[in-house]
Amino acid sequence: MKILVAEDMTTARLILDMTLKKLGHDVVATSDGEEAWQAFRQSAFPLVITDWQMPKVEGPELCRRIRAQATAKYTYILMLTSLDSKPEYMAAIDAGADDFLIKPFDEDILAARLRVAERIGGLLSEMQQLQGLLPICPTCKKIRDEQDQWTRLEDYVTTRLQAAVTPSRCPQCQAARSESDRTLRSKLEHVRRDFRKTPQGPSAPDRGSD
Amino acid sequence: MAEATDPTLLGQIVRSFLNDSRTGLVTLRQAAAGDAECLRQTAHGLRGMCASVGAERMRVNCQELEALGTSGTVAGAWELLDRLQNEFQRAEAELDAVLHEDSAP
Repeated sequence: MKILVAEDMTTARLILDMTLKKLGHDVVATSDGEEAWQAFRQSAFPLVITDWQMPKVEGPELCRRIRAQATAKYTYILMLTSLDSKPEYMAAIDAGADDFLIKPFDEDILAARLRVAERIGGLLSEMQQLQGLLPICPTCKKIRDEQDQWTRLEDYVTTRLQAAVTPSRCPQCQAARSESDRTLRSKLEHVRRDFRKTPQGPSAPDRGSD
Repeated sequence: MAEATDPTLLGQIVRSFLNDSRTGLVTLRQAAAGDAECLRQTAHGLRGMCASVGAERMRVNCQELEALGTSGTVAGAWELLDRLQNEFQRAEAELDAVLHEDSAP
């Protein structure tokens, strides 16, 4: 897995880098939150491991920036810090971290947490793919939404895309429509001609006696 | 300390720890003159690093200094700093030996 590391203390960064590589991951190590943010903007990372206290941009702010950035795939964030109180844990999660690990980390525990991160990343990707498959009725073209309700295509799109649907025919439908209009006009013309030929109008169908 | 299989990397980590500690001690001495926030931040950073390499006594000293800074005072910082300095010198002597062994043919 490609992992972005943000850790300002050289020694801690070297140890983390070494451990992650030993576990078979690709690591991009940065020395503060701002450097990590720039690296993240250049390339997507499925996992970010960040320290809390760092110069320039601290861990929670890095989490907020990552969460505010629209990315195609979810980024799992693990906060690795020596701050170990409940308020700090809560603040990290509120800022957008998914997991919280206290220094010094145990290599086996870290490896286990990374497996969880991979598992969650996989599930989210699968969910995104499934969301991409919309159940649509072949007859009326209604779509089944998340609440299992059948919705008109126009309503579905309007709700999801926050955009109004404007009626506008595609060239194929426009051509078919013109052809249909011509046929209708031609039929009307025939009826009109028949009507003129017969003074009483075309013979009415026999409806039988009441 | 985390197991370093690459001897070059082990040396790199040890040297980095010694450098970071020396720099941190200088900053802590400056902060002890009256900057409680700087004392807290620097001690916090050193605490994490000491924890990472297993320098337990140094970690405890840093934790005490960090607590002092968190409470907004530097009173008593010099005494704690002297203890941290002593612990660092002990660790330095041990790690220097590790570096010599590491670089020996």
